[in-house]
This record gives sequence, C-alpha cells and structure tokens, in this order.
Amino acid sequence: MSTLELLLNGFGAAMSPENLAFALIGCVLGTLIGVLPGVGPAAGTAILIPLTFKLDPTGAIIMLCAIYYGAMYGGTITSVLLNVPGEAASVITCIDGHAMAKQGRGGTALGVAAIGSFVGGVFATIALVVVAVPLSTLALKFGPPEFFALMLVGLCLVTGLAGRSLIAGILMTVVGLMLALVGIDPVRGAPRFTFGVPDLYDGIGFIPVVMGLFGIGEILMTAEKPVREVVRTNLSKLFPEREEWGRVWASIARGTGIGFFLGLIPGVGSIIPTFMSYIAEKRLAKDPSRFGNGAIEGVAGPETANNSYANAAMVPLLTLGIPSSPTIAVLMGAFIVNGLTPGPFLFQEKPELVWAIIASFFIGNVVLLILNLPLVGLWAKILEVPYQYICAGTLLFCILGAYSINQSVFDVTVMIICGGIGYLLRKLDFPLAPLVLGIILGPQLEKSLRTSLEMSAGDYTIFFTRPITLVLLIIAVIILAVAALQLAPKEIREGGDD
Amino acid sequence: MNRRDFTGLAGAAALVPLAGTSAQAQEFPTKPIQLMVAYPAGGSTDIGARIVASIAEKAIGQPVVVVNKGGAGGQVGWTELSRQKPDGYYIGFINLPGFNTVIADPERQAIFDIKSFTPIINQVLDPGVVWVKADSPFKTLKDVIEAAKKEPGKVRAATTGILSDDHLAILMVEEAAAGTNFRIVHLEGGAAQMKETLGGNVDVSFDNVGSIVKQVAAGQVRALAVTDTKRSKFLPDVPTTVELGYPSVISSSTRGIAGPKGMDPKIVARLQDILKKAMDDPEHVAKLEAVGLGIRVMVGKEYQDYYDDIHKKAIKYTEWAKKRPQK
Amino acid sequence: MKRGWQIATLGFIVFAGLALVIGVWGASFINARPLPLKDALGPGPGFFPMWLSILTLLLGVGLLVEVGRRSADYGEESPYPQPSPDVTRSVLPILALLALVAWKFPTFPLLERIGVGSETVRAVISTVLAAGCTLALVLMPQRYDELSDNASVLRIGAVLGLLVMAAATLEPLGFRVTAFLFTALLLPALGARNLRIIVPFVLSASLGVFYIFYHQLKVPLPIGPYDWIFKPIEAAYFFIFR
Repeated sequence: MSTLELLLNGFGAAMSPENLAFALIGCVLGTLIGVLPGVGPAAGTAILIPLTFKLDPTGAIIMLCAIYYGAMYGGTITSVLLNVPGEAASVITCIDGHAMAKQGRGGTALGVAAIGSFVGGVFATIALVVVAVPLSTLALKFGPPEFFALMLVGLCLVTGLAGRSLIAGILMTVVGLMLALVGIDPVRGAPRFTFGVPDLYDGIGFIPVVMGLFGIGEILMTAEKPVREVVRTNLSKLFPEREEWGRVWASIARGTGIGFFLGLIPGVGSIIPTFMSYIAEKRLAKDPSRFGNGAIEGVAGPETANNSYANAAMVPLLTLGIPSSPTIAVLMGAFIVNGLTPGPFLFQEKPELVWAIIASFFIGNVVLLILNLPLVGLWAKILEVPYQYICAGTLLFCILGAYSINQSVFDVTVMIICGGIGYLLRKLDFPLAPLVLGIILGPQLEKSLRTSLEMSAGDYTIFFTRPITLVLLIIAVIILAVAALQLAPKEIREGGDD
Repeated sequence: MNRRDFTGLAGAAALVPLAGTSAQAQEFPTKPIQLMVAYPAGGSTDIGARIVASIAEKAIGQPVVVVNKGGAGGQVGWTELSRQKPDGYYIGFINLPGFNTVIADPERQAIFDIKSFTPIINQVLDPGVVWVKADSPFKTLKDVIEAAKKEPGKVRAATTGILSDDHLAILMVEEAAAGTNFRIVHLEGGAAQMKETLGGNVDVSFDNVGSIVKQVAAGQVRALAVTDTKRSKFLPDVPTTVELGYPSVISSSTRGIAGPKGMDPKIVARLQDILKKAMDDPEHVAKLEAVGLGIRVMVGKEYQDYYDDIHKKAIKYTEWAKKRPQK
Repeated sequence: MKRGWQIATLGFIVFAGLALVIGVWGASFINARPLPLKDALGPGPGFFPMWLSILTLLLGVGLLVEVGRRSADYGEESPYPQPSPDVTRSVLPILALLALVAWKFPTFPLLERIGVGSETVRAVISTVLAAGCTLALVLMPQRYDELSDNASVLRIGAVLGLLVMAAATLEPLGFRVTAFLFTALLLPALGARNLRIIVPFVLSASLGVFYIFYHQLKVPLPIGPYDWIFKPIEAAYFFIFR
C-alpha cells in the first residue's frame, strides 16, 4: 500500500461521526484549558486522561491530540485580549497581539493567529507524512553539546529583542539567567539561592513569573490609568488589510519552517520556536520599530511557528517514542495507556491506527479553524466589557491558575511579586522579553553544558569536534559580532555630536 | 456594601482558628482525601496514582483528589507531606530510593527524615534494568563490565537523575566487579535517556523495566540484565544480576503511599484496607501492567522492613557517591 | 524618565552585588555557604552565579553611562501613559509594605497562645489594608477625580493589596470565601457601582467558578473551613435547577 492509500484509509477511519465528535469536543475542551492561565496543556491533558479510558483507543487519542492543539490556541486568546500568557508558548504573542487589541484590532490578531496556526499545522503534518523517518534519525544527532550551542545561539539572538537600548536588553537577559539559577543546581544537586525555603528548591516557577510580569503588570497599568473610551473592535475588519497580506503570508511561511525544524529536535520546548520566529520577523522587517506596537507579523509568525512546532513534535514521538516537551510526554503516557506504543515499529505494527491519528491531525487543524474563526469576533467583544470586570475576572483567574499548577500559594505569591516588578519595569520601558528568554534558556544552558562535560569527562574540545555544535557556535559568534558592530557606530556618532 | 459588612468579614477571618477543630471522624473518611504525587502531572507515578484514586473513590464514596506538587526530584512534595496534619486526609506517594537519597544527602538539606512519615502501603516495584541500543556492540552485561574494566572511565553510563536508583545501581556494579569504572552521565528522566542512548551519546543506560518494556518489544533496545532476585514477567528472557553472578546488585524503584508521622493506627489500617482493595482490583492491575509496571503490594511490617532496609542501602551508596572522584 | 532608568539600574546593581555576596561568597548572617567555582569536570555551582553577577554589575554601570550621555533618548517618548513622578514613588512603599505582609509575618506570643497563628494575622492585616483602600475610593466625595494621581495610587494599592490578601487567605479561608472577598472589594475600588451587575458577578466568581473547576474539572482548590456555609447554598441550587 502506498503512503497515499494509507493516508486515505486513515481519513476514512478518522472521519467517522464518533471520531469527528471526539475531535470537536477535544478542540473545545482544549481551548477552554488554554484560556485558563496556569493550567497549561500538560496538566489539563493529564487531568482529562481518565475521561478517555471509557473511549476506544483511536477515539481517545484523537480527542487528546485535539485537546493539545486546542490548548495552544486557547493560550493565544488570552494573550491577545488580556496580555495574560495562557501557557509558555503564548508569551511572545502578548507583545504585539495585545498591542493590536488595544488598537481595536484584536479580532484581526486572533484571525491571523487562527489562519497561521492552520497553515503551519497542515504543512507540518504533510511534511511529517513525507519525511518523518529519515529526518528523525538526523534529529537524534542533537546531543547535549548541540543543545548547548543552540541555546547559546538563542541567547545571542536576544539582541534582536532589545528595544531602544541594547545594554538594557542584555542586562535583562542576564538578570533572567540569574533568576533561573535559583534552585537545585545540576552539578551536585545542592540547593542554590534557596535560603532554606523548600518551595524555591525547584526554582522560581516560570509560569507564575510570566503571568505576573505580563498579565498582572498589564492590569496594574490599566488600574493606574483606566481607559475611558471602550475600544470598539471593528468586526468587519477580521482580516488584515490588503497591503498587509503580503507580509503576513511571508511571516507565516517563515514561521512554518522555523517551527517545523525545531519541532523535529526532541527536547526543544515550545517557547523557542516562537521566540526565534519573532526575532526573525523583527530582523527581516523593513520597519522594525513597529514591533511592540502592533506589528501583525509579530503575531502571524510566532503563532504559525507554535502550531507547526506542535505538529512536528509528533514526529520524534511517533517515530522514536521520545517526547519533546512535558505536554507531549503526557500525550505519550495517554498513548501507552491506550495500548499504542510510539516507536519506529508503530508504523508497521498498527498502520491503520497511526494513519488514522495522522489524518486526525489534519482534521483537528480544520476543526480548530472552523470553530475559532467565527468565534474570534465573539472573543474580541470581551474587551468591550467595562474594564473593572475584566480586571477582576482576569486577576481571579490568574490566582486560580497560578495556584493550580502545584497547589501552592507560593506560586501565587511569586506571581504577585512579579506583577509589581513587571509594572515598574514597563513604566520604565525596560524590555521584558529578554528577561523571559533568560529564565527559559538559563537552566537548559547550564544543564547541557554539564551533561556534555560528563559525556566527555571534562574535555572541552567536545564542543569543537562535533560538526553541528561547531557550526552553531560559529553562528553565535557571528550574531554577537554583528550586534557589537551596531553598538559601536552610535558611540562614534555620539562622540562626533559632542 | 458598607463599613459594617467589611468589619464583619474581617472579624470572621480572624475567628478561623478559634472555630474549633473538626470533630473526630467516626467513620473515616467523611470528606475528600488528597493524594499527593511529588512529580508533575503525566509522569508514571502520576498515572498510577490517578488509576488508584479513580478506583478507590468509587469504593469509599468520597473523592480522592490527586494533587501534584512537583519539584526538586520530589523534595518539594515530600516536604509538604511531612508538614500536613496526620488525620488521614492528606497522604502522598513516596518513591524509594529517591526519597531516601534526598534524606541521606546532606547537601539537599531536607527538613524531613524517615521518621517524619508513616508508611501505609506499597503499590509498584519496578526493578532496575541495564540496557543498550539494539545495534550496540555490547551483547551481555559481561561485555559492559569487561569494557569498563579495560578502559576505566571511558564507558559512558547514563542515569535518569543524580542519586536516583539508577545511579546507585551503577555504583553497586562497580562495587561488585572490582576494577570497573564508568563515566557516569546524569540525564533528566527516561525520555532524555532514551534519546541519548538511541543517538549514540552514551554507551549503556541504567533505568527501570517499566520505562523500556515497549521499546524492547519493538526491537529498538536490548535489555542486558534486570537487577532483581527474580526475572521480570515483562522481560522473561532477560537474566537477572543474581543469575549472572552479581547477587549484591539489587536495585529497584518502588512507589508507595505514606502519611505524615503520628497517624492514628486505626486510620492507617482503614486506609490500608481501602487502598489494598483498590490495588488488587483487576482494572488497576490491568492498567498498570499495560504500562509495564509490576505491582508489589506491601503493607504493615513487610513494608516497614523494606522501607528501613532501603534507607540503610541509600545512606551507604550516597556517601560513596559523594566521595567518588567523578560522579 | 531618565531618573527612573537611573534608579532602576542602581537597583539592578544592588541586586547583583547581593547575589555575589550572599550566593557566591557566602554570608553568615543568613546561613549561606560559599558555592565552589570549580569542579572535577568543569564549572561548579558557583561559577555561573559569580560571573553573571559580575556581568550584571558591569552592564549596570554601562547603562548608567549610556543614560547619562544619551539623555535625548531617555526623555518622554515612552509609549505608555506617563503619570507624574509621584505615583511611581508612592507605589514603592506600598509594595514594600505588602511584601512584608505577604512574606513571613511574625506573630505574637500572646496571640499564639489563643491559637491565632501568623497566617491569620497576615490574612487579617492584608484584608484590612485592602478594605481600607477600597473604602477610601468608595467613600471619597464628589472631589473624586478618577484620573488624579491620588486615585491612581489608591487603585494600584487596592489591586496589589487585594492580591496579597487573596494569597494570604486562599488556604486559610478557602477559595470561595477568598474569591468572594476579592471580587467584592475590588470592583468598587476600580469604580464599579452597578449592584445589579456586581452581585451576580461576585456570586458566580466565587461559587460558579469553584463549581466548574473543582467539581467538574477536578482541579484541586482549597475548600477552607467554611464548607458548611456553602453546602446549603449548593443544595438549594441543585434543588431549584434540577
């Protein structure tokens, strides 16, 4: 049977009325979970696994995958409308997405996100079908040294996120790296900067920090100066302007590529593709100063990358049985409990099941689009509710969300403190995104450095003898050099002005 | 909404601790029970916990709510458990020997020790296993040991965490076969270990049977030895370390339920009764075995003895691990 | 604006200095042990903390220099609404006070003896603080100008105070009571006056949300000791709507 025939059979199985219903229910549940800040897709999916015990394996897995994609999109909704990142990957969407919402273009932002997600997801799934197995063995070559170099490249790219002051951007990144040091160190397992507080042993939780910095910070800004005129969202403008379409399609195309390739590498979390897409868009834009003030590519690119990543991350799962992120690990657990063992022999052992699932990826993406596009107008209308209720409701959900991660009031406290800090930083125009990047990449950087050295028994040449690592390190150096060059001429200019 | 309402509410808040403790439960349980898992949602302990919870709550008519308190390899959750009221409404999973090494390692500065808990019942015993990828040059455990003797510090052996049961197993092998020395690489979790082994970044891996059962069946990996006294029913063709001549290399990961210290023995007995019934339930057995987890229910003295015994071993190997030049 | 940057940068420098002193070199006054810089295999636990702190210090100094020289860039062009400097200055003491309350608030031996622990004291104090801000906003007579700086400070104080109160009362009083207090106090503080919307909102926030998340979605939320108050309400609801 050729791949195409297998796929068509899969569609046949996946489009049965029950399975379609499961996909629909999954998308709805997932979107609701994604909308709730804090209860991320991982926890939400885990909580819903027992629900699926009663269903047949195919149906259960279709529903769980739909929940996964739905949650990704749900996070986008709150990021755009309320500046609260529903889950980690939505952080970058807050920046331009919420700015667009404040200009009355919230519907457009959500619409572009939905379209981009659909395109990214479908293309990634097609690519998955075509190149899954060969590419996955290549991805295995990414060991700890390659990871270290990749994280280093990510850090150097922060120069693209800095606003008016490069030094401030780097400062925020370094502070983020320092905040990430709190917790058990990867070298000896001893606590670092924990001051005897057991809740700090696992570090300062990432989700409460971003919820506080972005979400609560935004609400404090609103409380300070309440917006009197309600921003009327123009429903007839659910789509970008004609002249914007060209740029939007370009960023969607780039986002698909970035998300797909990063999704193939097991272990790369969902945030990295979104950040990289945003930086790429900002770098390639003719007028980068628009970013941060409602640049539509700043939403289209990252959202596409996010969904493309989510679909591509299924590749290491299905072909190698290796989950790329905690959410996918939960999905894998669900697969196994339902009798499906991800791995290379999966395609041979139970091809009908696998192809039905792959077909359901397509269907899930379509269902999500159909479900959300009409609702986008409705979602955007939320912003027209008087701000007191939005604030109170959002804050309550943030408290609920932060608490539900680990049933810990500590996380809520962290969120509140970050809220105060985020408010102050925003008033002073310090860029928040580099801080977030530092917090994410810091632990990965240190761990992969440590593991690489364990592998090589302390020999640093491991970073130069492995080809992929060497290439990535050279790229990092080049990025740094370009940034340094940008810094220097201003200084010379300054000297000239005096 | 006026001043009086506010003061009234504030006053009510102050009265909380004076409202009196809840009445002694005659028929335990009379309200929901919280079952804590010291790891984030979705891991195998969590899945096992949710299965037990869903079966137990049907029998007792009260919800059994799984609460995830992940972090620091379980330390955050166990710290929380040790501080709870010993009234039987907050119990949690303890994972031996990870639990024991956290206590034994002075640098972890754990605020609890083994006396801080009341062991109730054990659920799963997942024996350790030594495995390599399918096309590895190592065909038997003997091959691995010989390579590690010939070139000390060159064979890269992976664990799923510092001072995990896998780490201790490697040390046991080095102790049993004099002259062996591995280059130990600590990874975070089974998924990372699977990836690095298949990718060729490590030479041999130490993990637990439950994590690799499916991959063995699929032919992706080869299991060389099970570190238990008897063969695993999931890997019947794999010899045990005892059979291979290393009877001191016995290591497994167990998951049991415990409460804070000072629990009323009557409540402990009731919990044991409830949980044992749930664990013996065929649905529970089937779901756990489907994931490759072997059930070994232990209660009372058997569990207490096991608990103390593992702790002694953990202390010994933790001290050695700290002194060993390259961990 | 420029002064704001300078103050914040100084703040970062102090932060880095503290990290160095406490974290890396060990400060006996808070029982910190020095972190080793080197290890058999490479960088030890103290390596990154030390170098990152030093880097932060250098960057802080560099930023101060940059702000000093390029004053034009750090003027009034921020896209965010610019209140007068007073608001920013008065937020800081509010934050400090709230942080103190939120963290390990000490208790008093006399209160301990009658069973009032530090948790309750925190809960009560933050409730009073937040209620105070709310009251001030609600009762301010016709001179109440929403856009005045005083009103801004009070609103921010109310939001932060109520958040701290919520964190402090979440476990001792349970989710439903906390949500009730939180929304009931916050809405008037922000200017909502229409009781016909406030009351259903507050009720659905505390009871409805709890029902959906705890009972339907099985998300563990603190029940609190006042469950007996809510049982009859829930029973009534089921009776009426089933």
